[in-house]
Amino acid sequence: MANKKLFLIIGLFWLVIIIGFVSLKEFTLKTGEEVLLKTMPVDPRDLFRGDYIVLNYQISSINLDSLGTDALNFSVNDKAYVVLNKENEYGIPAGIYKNKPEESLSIKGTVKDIRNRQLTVEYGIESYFIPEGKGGEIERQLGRNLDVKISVDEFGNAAIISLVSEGKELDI
Amino acid sequence: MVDEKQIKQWLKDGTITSKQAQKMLVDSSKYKKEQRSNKFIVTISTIGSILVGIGAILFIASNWQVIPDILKVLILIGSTFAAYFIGYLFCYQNKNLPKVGASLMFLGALLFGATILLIAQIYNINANSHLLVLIWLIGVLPMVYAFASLPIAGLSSLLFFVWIGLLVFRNIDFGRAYGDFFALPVLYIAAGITLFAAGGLHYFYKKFSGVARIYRLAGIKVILLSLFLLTFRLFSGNYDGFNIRENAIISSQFRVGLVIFSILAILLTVINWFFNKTEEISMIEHPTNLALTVFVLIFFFFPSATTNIYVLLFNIIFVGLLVLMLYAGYRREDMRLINLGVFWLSAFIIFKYFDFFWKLLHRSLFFIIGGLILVLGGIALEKKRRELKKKFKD
Repeated sequence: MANKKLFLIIGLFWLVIIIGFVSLKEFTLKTGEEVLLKTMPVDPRDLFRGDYIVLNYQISSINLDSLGTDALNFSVNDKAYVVLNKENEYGIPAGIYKNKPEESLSIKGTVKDIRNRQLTVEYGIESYFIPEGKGGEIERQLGRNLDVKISVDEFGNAAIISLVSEGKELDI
Repeated sequence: MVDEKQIKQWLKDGTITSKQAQKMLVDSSKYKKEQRSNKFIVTISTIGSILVGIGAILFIASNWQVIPDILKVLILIGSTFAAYFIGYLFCYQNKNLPKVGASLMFLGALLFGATILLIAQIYNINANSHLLVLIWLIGVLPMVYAFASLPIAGLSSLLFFVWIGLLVFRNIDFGRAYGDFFALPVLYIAAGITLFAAGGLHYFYKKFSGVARIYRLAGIKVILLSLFLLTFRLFSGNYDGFNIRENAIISSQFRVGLVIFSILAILLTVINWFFNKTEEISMIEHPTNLALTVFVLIFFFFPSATTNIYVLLFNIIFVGLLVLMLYAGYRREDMRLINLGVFWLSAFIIFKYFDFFWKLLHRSLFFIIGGLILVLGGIALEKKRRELKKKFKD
């Protein structure tokens, strides 16, 4: 009956993975602080999961000089915590650190590219999935005024809540 | 199971009586019939499972909005566990439909991956994330060892190589990463040798000898495909002094990945060399693996921008490896190895003919000679392959 035990253990293992995966994201959505981010969307296609919008945020490109932070030696693939100051619900970058700063709203990302004093940072919220074939249509409707409402938890993890256009949440 | 020829020989030698021979012939015929039927069931049910799995992934890809997200997740989780549970019942509990059961468990493994992709889609997790493939791989890998499942060993090998590709290109814009792209065959050779050598270790346990073979064949296929690409100037040389890879930047994460897989390839090969004395392992494969790993590392770290010396060397290595493989296939009477060798040899001849003679020969002559090579070469290779197949069966 070793097979039966192994069968049950693997089934349980799958459940743990699925529940754990959902719980992590739900934790960020339920406990996190909501903030709006400005974007510029384009529309490619994912190999596995159908159509999605690539979201390029204002905070995806960080100028170290404009933030007035000390020159930190970031390398590609380094973790980075970007401190966000909220102005009219919008998150505006106010600093970038290698470790999470205490008592401030900061979003965790990974340095993707470095050019001079300009960092490109990825936060894991750059894809928004839409129904197949609707990419172009949605993009036309949205124009260029697209914001994204996200939730940032106490560890800096972020999850997308919704797309926002002209102050209204879109029902996609 | 003995075959007809052997039984007749025993009868002729007087080892068995004619009554025994008759009984053996009937049993042998029944066994062969059952084997054919089993193969058919496995083929049909595995194809069925793959189709349902692909259907599930396409269903997710279409991101159909009519069904609420929570219901989609529940449907997929339900299907995953239903396929897994019914498969287990057929295969191990009731043991009445073991082949169909194994296919359903395979379907469960595919649907598990589809569930992960669906959840990632619902939460808008970044597209092409290597982590999703890694989670899928971690989820299905225990099935390989719990049930010695060969289709899932094949799926795991595929996921392993997909994961490596996505891992290398993580956080990188594909447009800027062409240096990594052209170096990808080198990484896949190191990863292929790693899987091949890791597969060899499975021969320590008789139960996993089938899994070992799947891993080793998957490793060989990826190594051959990568080496084949490196036999072309685009990947390992230059065209009249022009080298597209000359100013390409290769990311540090690529270099780290290559070093890690090379160390693993060398380590696992050395372990096999000194400790694995099982008969399925050939002593010639270890020095070949080590030499190939070292050579691709030399090519990667000390490229030649001005000569085509590496192109020549990769061509020699590729043909040498094919000869070794065909020799090993002949020695072990292994048709899979021979088929693989014949396929790549044919592909090599065709592509090289186009590569070398397109500019040198008059067009009419080029096509006439090319056609003749294809027709006559095809006949010769197929004839030899059939001869070997017949010989091995006898």
